[in-house]
Amino acid sequence: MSKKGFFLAVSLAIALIATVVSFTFWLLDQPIADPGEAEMPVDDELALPVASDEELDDATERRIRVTLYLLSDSGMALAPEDREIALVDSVQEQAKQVIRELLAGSRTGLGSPLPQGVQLRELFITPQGLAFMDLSQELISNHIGGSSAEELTVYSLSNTLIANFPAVKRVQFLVEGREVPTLAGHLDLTLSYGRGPRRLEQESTSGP
Amino acid sequence: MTAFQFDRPRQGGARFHPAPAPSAWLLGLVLLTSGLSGKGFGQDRIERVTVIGPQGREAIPISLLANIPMLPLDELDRFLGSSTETSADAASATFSVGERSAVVSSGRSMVRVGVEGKLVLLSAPITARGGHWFVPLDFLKKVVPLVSGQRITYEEATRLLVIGEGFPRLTVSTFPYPGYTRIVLESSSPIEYQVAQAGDRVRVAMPVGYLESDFSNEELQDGVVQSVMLTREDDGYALSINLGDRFGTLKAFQLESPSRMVLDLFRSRVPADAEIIPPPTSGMDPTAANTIEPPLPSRPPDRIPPADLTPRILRAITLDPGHGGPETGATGSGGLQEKDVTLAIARRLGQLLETRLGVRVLLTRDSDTYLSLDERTAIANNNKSDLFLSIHANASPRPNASGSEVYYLSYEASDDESRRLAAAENANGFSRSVGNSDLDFILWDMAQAAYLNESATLAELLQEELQAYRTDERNRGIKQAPFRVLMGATMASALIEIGFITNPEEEGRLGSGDYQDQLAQAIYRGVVKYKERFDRQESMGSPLSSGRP
Repeated sequence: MSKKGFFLAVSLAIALIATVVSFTFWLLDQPIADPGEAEMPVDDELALPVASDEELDDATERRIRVTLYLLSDSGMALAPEDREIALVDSVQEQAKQVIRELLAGSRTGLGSPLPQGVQLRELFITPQGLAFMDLSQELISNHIGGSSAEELTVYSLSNTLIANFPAVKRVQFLVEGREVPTLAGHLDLTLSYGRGPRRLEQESTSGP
Repeated sequence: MTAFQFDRPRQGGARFHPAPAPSAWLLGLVLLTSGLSGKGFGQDRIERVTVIGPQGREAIPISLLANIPMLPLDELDRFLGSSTETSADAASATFSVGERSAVVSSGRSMVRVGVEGKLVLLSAPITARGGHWFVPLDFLKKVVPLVSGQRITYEEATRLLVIGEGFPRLTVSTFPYPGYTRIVLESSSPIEYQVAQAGDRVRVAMPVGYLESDFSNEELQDGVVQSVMLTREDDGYALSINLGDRFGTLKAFQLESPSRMVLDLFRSRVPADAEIIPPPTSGMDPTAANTIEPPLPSRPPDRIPPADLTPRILRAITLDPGHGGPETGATGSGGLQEKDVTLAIARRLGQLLETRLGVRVLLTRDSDTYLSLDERTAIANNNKSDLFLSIHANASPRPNASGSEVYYLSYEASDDESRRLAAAENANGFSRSVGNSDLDFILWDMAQAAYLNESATLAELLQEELQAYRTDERNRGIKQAPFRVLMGATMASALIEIGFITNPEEEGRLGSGDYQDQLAQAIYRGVVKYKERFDRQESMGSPLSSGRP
């Protein structure tokens, strides 16, 4: 009993000290928003680092190059497009940014394998490397159908995530927060998806 | 037979057990090597550099000279095939592999590499002592890759030197299922597997110089497989599978990335202790004795599967017109809907198959109605179909995409990795909140896996016919994808994309009755060829397979 009491007292003391220390740091931090220290809020507008005047120079420097998998001219394969985006300190937040960039479409004139109006609702990555990607219902309702287009949609998302984040091994898709049997009536979306087959990354050179 | 040594005697007979994850693997290595040093604390963290090459794994002891870890060059020569020659005045030495070389000088940190004399600065001076040349460890990273013609990877943290691609690591897993026993060999890099069956044993030979595995043997005693044993042979390694009384047939297929050999050992349909069925003495196909599964002399006659006696014939086919009802599928720019085209072609094809091939044909839907994907598969399963064909029209965001394709189920995306991750998530409190349980998932998954070879053959025959007919189209070949409608089918199955409805030209053709007839004829010819093969193979009592590895 006394042992339990002792641990309780120690835990309380640690918690108290931690609270005081973090509150002090929080007070010290107030004038300058530091995205590195702060816990990332889930809301996407808030997730972007708020740059103060002093920080603006710094913020413009902190960018990373990412690869997005968009649609090739043949309409049968994925085509990579590199671009620089703002660097965020959390992998999860960075992953969300990358998927939002992908959903926004190409800046170099490539087509998009993703249906119109799809929004990223949530994304989280488990320590085992499975990324849960929750997308809005437009993923299904605005999809044009067809096995090829469906494969391109799924692997555009999974390839983009896996190529940019070694922490991600496979992607489990959710639509409006739920697991769905399929996207357009072909692929089994209850399964998780890894990097797509090579045929989707290679442009066929034969034929008309 | 004795279990082979996984390490060379040099390492004191200690065995190295690779863990599945690379990080854990490296951790294990660190623990092992530090454990082997056995000199207790206060010593250098690792006293040797571990070399992993195609010939195996060995360790080079590190010497501490003036408290700096150094490596003797002549030790390195043994692994790299390099040579170290001391100059006449003994002030320098040439370390070389073939044409490439580096010159090291006693007491100097600078190394001169190649004919152009590129200078490389090492962290400590090179020392000559007792006729041996000692170099600091960063020599491995900075100089060896420049001189050696091979790919060299050196990891400072673990003191691990990998020459070339290293050697393959093999894992062997066994899965005793109700109807069959599955044995999966998985290798970290592609290796060759040679499967042979003789007597009561199946042997998988792997002709590689060296491989590493923590598998040595396993007793299954499940009737189909008695035991499995991995052994070192003169020309490589071999996995020996001792068959049990209940063994019926063997199916083996290879999968890639990662390189796997999957052996499905099916239970015979007649139990060993059942009544003795008289073996056929006359009227049997004389070629039957030379097929994959001959009646082996060592085997009593009661173990011949009944398939040998009652040849099975492809009798029933389920056709599945894609989509339907409010789920229209893809739509062309001219307004043609996929659900209508697929139904029209399925009806035409069904008529051909029934009237000309004489098989029983079932359509999953014969009207514009909605059916879930699982219902479609269930219809095929419940009607004991021998073949399941799902007919679809394709779509692409680009209107120029064209051509037909035939898909069969990919075991890849629905494979162990997916399941392992799912299991790991479940164990961590993330659950798959779905209608279908994991058990369902595994059972459905397995169902089609057993027919993968047949499905591949079917897909190929169908694609050949569609191709021969549509010479104007580019050959897209057969493809694999984890399609839900094929997942649970307990028969050979394929999904045909007859053309791109989003391509205005193809849309026009797909809408015409003539063209629909022609497509139905092409698919029909593919099914006829498949049936020929199916019936022949079945009458010989062995599962249909494409005959390719």
